[in-house]
Amino acid sequence: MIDTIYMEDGAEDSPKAKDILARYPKANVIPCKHYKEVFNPAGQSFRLQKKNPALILAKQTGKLVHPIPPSYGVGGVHNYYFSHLLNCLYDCRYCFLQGMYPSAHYLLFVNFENFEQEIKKVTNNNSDPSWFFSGYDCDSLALESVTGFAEHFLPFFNKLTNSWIEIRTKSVATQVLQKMNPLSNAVVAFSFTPDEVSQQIEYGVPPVSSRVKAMKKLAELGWKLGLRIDPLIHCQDFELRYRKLFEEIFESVPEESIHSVSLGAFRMPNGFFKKIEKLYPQEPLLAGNWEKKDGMIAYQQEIESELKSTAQKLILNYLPESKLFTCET
Amino acid sequence: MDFVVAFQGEAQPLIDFYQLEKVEDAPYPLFRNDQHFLIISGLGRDRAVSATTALHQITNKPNLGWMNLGIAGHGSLKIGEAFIAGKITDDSSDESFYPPQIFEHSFAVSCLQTCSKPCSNYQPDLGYDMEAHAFYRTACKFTIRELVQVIKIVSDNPDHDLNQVNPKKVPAMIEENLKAIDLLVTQIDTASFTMQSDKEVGEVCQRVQALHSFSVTQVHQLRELLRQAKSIGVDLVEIEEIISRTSNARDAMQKVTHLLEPKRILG
Repeated sequence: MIDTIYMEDGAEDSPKAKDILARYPKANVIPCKHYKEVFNPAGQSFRLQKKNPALILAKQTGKLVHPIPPSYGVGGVHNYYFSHLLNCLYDCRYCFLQGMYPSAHYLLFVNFENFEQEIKKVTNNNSDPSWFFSGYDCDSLALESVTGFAEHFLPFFNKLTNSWIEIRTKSVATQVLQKMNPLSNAVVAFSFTPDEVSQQIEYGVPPVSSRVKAMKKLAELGWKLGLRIDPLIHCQDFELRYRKLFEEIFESVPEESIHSVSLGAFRMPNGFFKKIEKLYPQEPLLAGNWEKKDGMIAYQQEIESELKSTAQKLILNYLPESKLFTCET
Repeated sequence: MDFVVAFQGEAQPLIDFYQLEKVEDAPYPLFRNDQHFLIISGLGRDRAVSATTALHQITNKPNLGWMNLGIAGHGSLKIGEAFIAGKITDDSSDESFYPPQIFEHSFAVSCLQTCSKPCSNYQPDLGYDMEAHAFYRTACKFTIRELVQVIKIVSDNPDHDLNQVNPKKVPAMIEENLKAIDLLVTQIDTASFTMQSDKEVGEVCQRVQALHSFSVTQVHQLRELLRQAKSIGVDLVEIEEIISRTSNARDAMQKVTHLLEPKRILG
């Protein structure tokens, strides 16, 4: 799975890096002064690298915790994200990471302890609970076997009062969660599009049925779950497909286990969208009915409103409005 | 694939294997067949830069595969062993390159240092040559980084230093590794092919432009419409027919836009 590991000078001494090197003894290890030498150069093809990404082990010396965009929360007052990993195992054609990063290599920041210190500091500065979202620049669980992220951070959050963590994923690699007692301050959020859509534009993502099964298992164990219906994709038989999706989920997962549902339509900075169009000029999704507004690409207003109101109507058959959150463009 | 090779002795096995024919009146010794070009640069950075640039001017196509192949010293690997450069440094520059390792191959992966003069002070796990850094920096101006690779065959090491290298044995050392080299070349060429722009869109766009007087902006918009049409499964012949029945460029753009509108929904 990992053929090549780029090792930033100074990262090799971290316990996380040592652990990973021990688990990939056959990987070619290439030293670099700074991860940016490998990750940042122009003229790389995200698309080609996606076929066989390397792993870069480095230390994050910049900002560790960032505020999330307004309206992207799920009920909290203070909302932040942190990124131990840049890039994702999966290859979703709508993903902004393709437009944001010059490289598809997995960039893992091994200084977990520095993230912890900053999260503690931020938590202590707020009187209301702080929410920390871990799946903005990666899938929180898909590379767990490499990163050990959840295994490390969930016990940390278990001891951290007045804070919440959201683990956001499309993965079914939930064994790490099944081995732990559920945390009262953690939400395991699964992202979905209908199966017919997923098969066309979410390459490598497990089928909806497998993810629902993973959710069911976690619900039975007492984990709080999130549903992230984001992005909503304008597709044929939209209402039918999303109805079927919600039916499938709520047939297996009780409403009481659902902490929150968020809905959001596709939106992306124009520059990212243009870059992705160049990467995948023959991708049907990208030839949709888009409009540019304030530097962002989104579905035409009329379509976006229709998608949101339909999805909202469908989901409210299963849970109260208090659990529903809408991400605005 | 565009090969840049320093010496005839390194080039001959490739020339024979790919049945390349000499191109007369070229600025450098140049060989080619339908798929590949090979240029013999001579020794050192400056010649590598000049030859790589000259070859680009001849092949003149974006997103081609490029390979620098030749012999090199190495601090750890055995004589005759081939390696692919995972990192390329230069003894007179702070700039390092990391050719992305996305292809399957059987080569050792090694760091490689390009030197100003032949080096016999071998460090472990490090290769030594005199062209790769300059080649890589230059070739990356003409194509994407994944498609530029450097393969070296170890000719000298701490047990068998530079003075003991017999130039007559070099072709045989390259030949030994040709099968593995060709497997990599095939993958790079396939990847290169997938990165070429769509010929059909370009050709239809050209033909349609002859029908009406399109402004520069309209040509750009037309090309985008044709690309999008193809991506959502609309036959470009149908679009050509529609445009042939329109009265001017504006009308043509409107008709095509109208045709695509209801089809812009994911299946």
